[in-house]
Amino acid sequence: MKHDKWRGGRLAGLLLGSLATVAMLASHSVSASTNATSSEPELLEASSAFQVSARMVNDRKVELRYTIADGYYMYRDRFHFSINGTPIVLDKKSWPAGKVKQDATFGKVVTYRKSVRMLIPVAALGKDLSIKAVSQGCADAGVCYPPLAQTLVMHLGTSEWTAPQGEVASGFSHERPAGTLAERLTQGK
Amino acid sequence: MGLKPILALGVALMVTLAGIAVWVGRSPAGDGPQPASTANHDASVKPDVSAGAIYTARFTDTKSQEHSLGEWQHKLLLINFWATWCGPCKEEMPILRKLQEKHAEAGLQVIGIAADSRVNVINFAEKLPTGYPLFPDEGGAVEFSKRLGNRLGLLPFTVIVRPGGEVIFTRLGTITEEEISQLVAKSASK
Repeated sequence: MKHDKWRGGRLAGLLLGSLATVAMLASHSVSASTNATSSEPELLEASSAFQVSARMVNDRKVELRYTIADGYYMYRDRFHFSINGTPIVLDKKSWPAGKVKQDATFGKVVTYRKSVRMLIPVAALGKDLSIKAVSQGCADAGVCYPPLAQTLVMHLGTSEWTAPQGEVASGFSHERPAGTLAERLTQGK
Repeated sequence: MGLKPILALGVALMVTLAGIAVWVGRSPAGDGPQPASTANHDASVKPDVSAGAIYTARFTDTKSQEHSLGEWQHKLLLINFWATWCGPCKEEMPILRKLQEKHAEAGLQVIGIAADSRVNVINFAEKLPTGYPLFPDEGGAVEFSKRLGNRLGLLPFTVIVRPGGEVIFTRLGTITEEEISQLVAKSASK
């Protein structure tokens, strides 16, 4: 009986050792799948890095506020808005000052950090209000996010906005190729 | 407790842990939702695309000439995804140009696929000629880069495809001249 207990203890120890080995393998597998990345800063999803919210200031204006995560910035000239499908052009003088950066293609560009607010004029509140806000930003880690389109909706008779629904915007092109690369891949063209 | 139950429990736990190890070790290009990414990937990122799919991709350059990636299937093909609205992308383009010049004889071919409009890319190329082909594909570039392992679709993103279609390098973020030169030399010696 004593002998069985000893054997049982030794077997349990062996199993624990094996489990520890498997656990180490599992942890190695995790690090292998993200190899060479452990020292790099993590990158947020676009909707987390650039969070948008809206509130009615009065019956003629909506304030849009972007909360920008630390280490991220947004471009002033990449914001585009529309209300119920109608494009809204904001007077650039009404934008916050921001920080000026020199860009190889576009010259001086204005960027925002931490947060930025803008007032969107509203013509009439006779129906549901749908604001589509397209924005684009980058991370100090050295990468940029594609244009992000987020839609906020306020239903008539309420003062609550729906949570912004985001999607990657197709961009601001004046012309479109005849079929995207992905479509051509799928079609084998 | 007898020995058999301990043994059975231990085996079950080991199988479970091994399963977890396999599951978490899957390619980041998998379908499941993943909360965050990191700025650099490496060759361990396995793209969700076959060599055939890479080489049959067709697109149009800034001179309206249609090309297929298959034209470079015998080259060491460096595909750089970029856009004119991406500052870091433009900062690394002189490096790409230099790499193309330096390693052309070793079989390196650089191409730039832009998640941008044709007009923007043409205007950019007029100001800062790259010395390698540029392909504007605003609607499809990010999608294609995702299939090559760029999970969040961020830019710049660079992929290197060995002759025959094997992806040997992926990088989210800027590359350096040294690391690509080393990779070219290593590839040429094989």
